[in-house]
Amino acid sequence: MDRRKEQGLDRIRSVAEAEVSRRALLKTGAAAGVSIGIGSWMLRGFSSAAAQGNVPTGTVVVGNAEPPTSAQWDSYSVFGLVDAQVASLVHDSLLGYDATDATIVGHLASEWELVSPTTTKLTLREGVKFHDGSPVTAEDVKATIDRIGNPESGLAWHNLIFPEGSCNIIDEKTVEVVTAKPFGPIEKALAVMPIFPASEIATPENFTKQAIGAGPFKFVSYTENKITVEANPDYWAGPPKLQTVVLDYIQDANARVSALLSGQCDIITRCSAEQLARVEGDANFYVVDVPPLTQVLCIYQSNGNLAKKETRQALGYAIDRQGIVDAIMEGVGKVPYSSIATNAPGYEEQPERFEYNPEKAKELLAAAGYDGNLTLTMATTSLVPKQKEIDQAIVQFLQDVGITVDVTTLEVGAYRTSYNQYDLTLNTLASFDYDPDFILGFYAGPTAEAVFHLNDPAIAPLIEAQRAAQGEERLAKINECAAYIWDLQPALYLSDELWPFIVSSKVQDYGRVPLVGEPLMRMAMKQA
Amino acid sequence: MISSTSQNAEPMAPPARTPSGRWTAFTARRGAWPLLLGTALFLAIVTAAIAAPLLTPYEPSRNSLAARLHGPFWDQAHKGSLEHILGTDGLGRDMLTRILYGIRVSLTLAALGLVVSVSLGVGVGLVSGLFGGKIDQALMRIVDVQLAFPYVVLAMAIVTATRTSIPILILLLGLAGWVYFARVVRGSVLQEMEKDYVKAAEVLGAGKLRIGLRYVFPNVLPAVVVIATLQFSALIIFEATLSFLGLGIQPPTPSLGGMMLDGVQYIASAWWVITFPGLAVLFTTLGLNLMSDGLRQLLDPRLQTVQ
Amino acid sequence: MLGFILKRVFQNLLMLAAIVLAVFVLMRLTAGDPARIKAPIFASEDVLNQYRAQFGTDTPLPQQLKTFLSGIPRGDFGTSFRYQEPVFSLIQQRLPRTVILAVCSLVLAVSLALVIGVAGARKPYGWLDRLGLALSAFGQSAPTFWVGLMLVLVFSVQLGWFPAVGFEGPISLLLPTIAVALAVLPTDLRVIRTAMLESLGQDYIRTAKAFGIPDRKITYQYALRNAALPLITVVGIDLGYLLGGTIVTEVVFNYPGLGQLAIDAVNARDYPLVQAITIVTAAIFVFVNLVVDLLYMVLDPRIRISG
Repeated sequence: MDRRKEQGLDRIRSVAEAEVSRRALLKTGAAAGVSIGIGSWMLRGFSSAAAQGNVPTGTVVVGNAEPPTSAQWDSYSVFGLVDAQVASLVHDSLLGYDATDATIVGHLASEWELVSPTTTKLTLREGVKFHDGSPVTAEDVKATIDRIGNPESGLAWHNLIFPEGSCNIIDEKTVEVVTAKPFGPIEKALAVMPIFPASEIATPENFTKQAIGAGPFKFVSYTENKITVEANPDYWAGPPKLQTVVLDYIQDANARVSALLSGQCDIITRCSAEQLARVEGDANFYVVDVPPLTQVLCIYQSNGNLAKKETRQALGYAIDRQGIVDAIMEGVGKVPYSSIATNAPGYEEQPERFEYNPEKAKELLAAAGYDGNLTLTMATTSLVPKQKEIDQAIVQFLQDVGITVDVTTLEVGAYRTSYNQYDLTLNTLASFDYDPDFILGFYAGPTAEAVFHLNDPAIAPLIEAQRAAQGEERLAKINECAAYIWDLQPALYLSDELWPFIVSSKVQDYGRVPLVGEPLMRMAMKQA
Repeated sequence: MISSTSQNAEPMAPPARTPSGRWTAFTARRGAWPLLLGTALFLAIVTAAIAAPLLTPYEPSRNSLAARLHGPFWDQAHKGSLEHILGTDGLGRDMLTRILYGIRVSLTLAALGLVVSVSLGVGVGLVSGLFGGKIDQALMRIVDVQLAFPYVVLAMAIVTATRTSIPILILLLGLAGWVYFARVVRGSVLQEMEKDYVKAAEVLGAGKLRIGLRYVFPNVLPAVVVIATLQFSALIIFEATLSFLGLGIQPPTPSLGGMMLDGVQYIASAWWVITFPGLAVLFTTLGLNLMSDGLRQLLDPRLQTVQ
Repeated sequence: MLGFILKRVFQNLLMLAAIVLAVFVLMRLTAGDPARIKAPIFASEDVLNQYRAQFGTDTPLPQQLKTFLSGIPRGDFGTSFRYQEPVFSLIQQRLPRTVILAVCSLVLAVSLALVIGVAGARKPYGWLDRLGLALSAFGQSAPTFWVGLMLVLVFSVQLGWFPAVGFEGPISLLLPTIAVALAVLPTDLRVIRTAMLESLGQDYIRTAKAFGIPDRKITYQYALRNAALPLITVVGIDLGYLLGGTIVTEVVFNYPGLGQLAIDAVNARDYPLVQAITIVTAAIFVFVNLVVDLLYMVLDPRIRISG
């Protein structure tokens, strides 16, 4: 490593002490996850004078690779990265995160208590207001929780982030959140569930026009793929340091880096190895990688040709996951040996690792009755970074064990809507609440049928079991459930996604928690 | 009409008897050199593409993850070596091999598209010119509509909806260029129809179709050939553009546009992936354009008014 | 004269109507269900139906066509499915940028063509003429998107002189302008050079020369005036091409113009947006052609009779 780079790295470390540089990251191959201790926001000592006196200043532009799912600002019905960013900036939740160590603290609720496995009692914070000036009341909380807890709601988040349940108002300042069955990840769920004004919920058509929340930033506009939010001076924990945050959609990967280099944006999200290489050794940038629980996986459809477990397991042996991660993803990834992300609480390596072993793959295929006569369909698109190359590598590995693959290229929109008609499709799966329960939920019920064409009655009870448990026991139950799914091999668990963000050094005290959204953005500030 | 007035004063070449004399006479004519150069360039590329399996030991779609993104042989900084003369792409595939096979694919598709274009365009042009009247007006309105239509948008809509398939691709390529043939053929037909011999044939009771095929078509042929070479190169570019937008031939089958699409993500780290397929398109179409230019000048000076 | 103009306008309106109908039917025949694309992956049929009701795609086709047609006179092209903004205002944001790009490219191409074409005609096969021929050959043979990518590779990535992204003031116009100008230059240059050669060979120019009028004056005052007519035609053709032809360039440069919008719209099956974009583009094309026809009549009285 030359001297200039060395200095650059020193600078990176001093700017954001705890963050892992790309070089270190590639050496260890470690997913940073929770282990990243103190947040840079704690080093507030040497921040710019501009932010003193708590007057919000400056604009941070975030360059994303995707636009919001729609201009429908109902966080509970959308799954995109930008949707989660908006939710975390504009809205506030009962619980929340104030530091990069991912400790849950009270937000709209000042105190809370788990009174039983199904019931959480919360005391609402006094004097908190929505952006329209109305106070946040127990009625608003009840309206929000009752809506997502209603199995008839049709909301996409239902049962993934919050199961069947409801909210009881005890008095003006006290509510009880009750789930129909014990729900282990309740605190993590309450820390990402935005509280909407009851009046907005009563008039759902408003979601297409505005987003009114109690969060640190106010929604200003959505025009031309850019979402603009500005500081909420009345935020209950004090105004944010930044005056404006812009979430910009820059489709092209090179253009995102160019925009960053030229100062047109300050943070670019979910970077590839190529993008990281562009700023390597450049003291003007640093890398933050605190991924949510997120996986790159090749989804199998467990009907048709892949109905037998042995066939799917054969695919696991046939494909060199580590080879793909090392070569095509250039080490920006981590191969898991279980069905949940390696940074997930409860993750443990399974004894059967399904490592690259083409001979074993052929044996299993022969045992399953295939003798060079298996043809699988695959759809490819550009949803996942380097998807076309990864897919072509997978095709090659399968051909090497005698499987024919018939590839169709689809436009992203068409891909999203028809992926489950193809045997093999690459996708990413991220937990919105830093809990593996969110991911495991995909493998049971109608969701499993829709996503994987999988219908294994043994999975639902395993999911229930980990939901019902607490503490260490819950971790063990999570592993038990993950292990069962791992053995089924309903997908190729290619890699964790490491989510490296490149950040301009002008942005100080920028920190992330392992979530898709940006709850700590209010701590960040920008040098003039 | 390049310099037809100022330089047509050249004396006609004397009748040549020896082969070398014929050669000299030929090369002295305006347009001979572009035609020769263009043909040589184009034929060289076509030959290389056909002989691809003999020229390179690699398979075009065989990955080699260990040899990803090697530079061309002179680019030592990117692990370039004589093993891969033009380097390798993001999956470790030999660039030269993929380019040669990609040219095969591009040329085949463009040629088939051209067949559709020519048949449709010449057919419409002949009918329009021969029969005139209402039929002519209706057909020419269709031509106008097509010209006013942002064709790329239309092509995208069709491909995204129907999913890419080779017949659809050929049809799209064919529909992209037929109007030029239609217009030129119609114009030439109208010119020919004014001539005495056609009028004479008409008087003698020859049918329109007979007149068209027997007398008019052979006279229109040179124009068609000139436009066809030009359109051939335009279709190669259009096919590359469609593939670049992800609407063309599907991977892992190599196509020049698709290779450039793959190369975009490496534009900052591996310049060769995007550069060489473009050069391949450039040289192929350059050959065709030179041919077209030469032919236009050689075949008929009047054709030079035809754009 | 007035009668002819009216007839021409009427014809063009008919053509526009044909395009409107064609777009409407094509979009609905070929595109998938926009509700499915908009809705989250796991959306139930209920949610999908809500979207369909919101988009108005749940009504029968004739009804949809009626709604669509009744909006046009009011300038109401509907609401974009994807952006949930009136289509009109989306186009209002983007169109000026595409027009700026098209006009800048046109100005660059035409001025280059004038300088080189006039010089080339005065001194055929001089160095400027040869440069022009080489530029033409390159512009005609290289795919525009690849030229754009090469410009990005050299000037943005390697040299870091220009931004490669978006629309950040005049500087980001430079590279796309060059790429697009290079694509239209060959036609412009050929037309101007030919027209200049032709008019320099005219009798009255020879007469002027004989009268001792300076060369310079002859070239710029008399010959160039004659070349104006073909130039107008070419500008008309170019504008039509540019409105559709900038699409791929806009993609390469991430230039937020109409072309980018068109691609996004097609991908999202955003019927109202695709319809409006095609109609607006076609309308501009038709309008420009009409203006060209009229200018022709003003400048060249011989043409008035035909039509």
